[in-house]
Amino acid sequence: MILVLLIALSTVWLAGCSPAKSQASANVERGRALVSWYGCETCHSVPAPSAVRGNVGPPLAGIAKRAYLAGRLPNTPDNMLRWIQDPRQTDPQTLMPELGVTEQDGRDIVAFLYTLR
Amino acid sequence: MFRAWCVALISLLAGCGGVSGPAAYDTQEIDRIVQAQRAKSDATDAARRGQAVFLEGPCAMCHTIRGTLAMSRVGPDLTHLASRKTIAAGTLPNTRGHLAGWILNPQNVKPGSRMPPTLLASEDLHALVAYLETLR
Repeated sequence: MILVLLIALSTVWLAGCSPAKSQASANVERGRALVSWYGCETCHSVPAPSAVRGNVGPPLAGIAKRAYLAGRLPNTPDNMLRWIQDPRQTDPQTLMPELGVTEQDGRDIVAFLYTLR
Repeated sequence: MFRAWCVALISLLAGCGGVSGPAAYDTQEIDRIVQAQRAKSDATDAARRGQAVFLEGPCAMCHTIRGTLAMSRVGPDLTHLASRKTIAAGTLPNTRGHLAGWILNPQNVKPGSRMPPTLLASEDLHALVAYLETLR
């Protein structure tokens, strides 16, 4: 029984964590932290260990495979950066605030978000 | 087998069995972000509208901001909110994103908090946050 449990646990651990680890570059790791520091996760639930699981805007799980951002922008890295840096330029009615995200911070966040497949 | 499946599910839900925790808050990085946000915050117009949102909306029913008509003692005094490092009783860094998310739905952050969700029009939220950021 213990053996079965161990196998189950390690399978889950490998399945859940290894892909994220292998894709991790410095930017992805930093992007993940920035999502926490800027406060994205207080509105959007992020499929990663988190102190808070927001439910104000859409969840970010699977965002890498989503076809459109903000209901209108084709999901490309440049469009995602544009949306993150200045959401109201795309949608003047959005509640998502402009957070003063720098170019480098934005690129790191985008790199992290594209690991959420 | 069912037990093994349960354990597997639990460890999956627990975020890979505690291999990595939530991203730690880096004080220097948070300070950098806050400074950039304050430098860019819409100047007085938005803040003035934000004060009206605060005073005429539900915020003033619970909070005090000294020097204004908001004098309720149900929730914390917000007179120097922008000088605080954290919000939500030390739960979150006081950056704009956390503040906006907290205002809109505090129950996500602290289930059972006495602060209710606040439904705001987009313009009102942005103005309100701009105003709150002036409360040094």
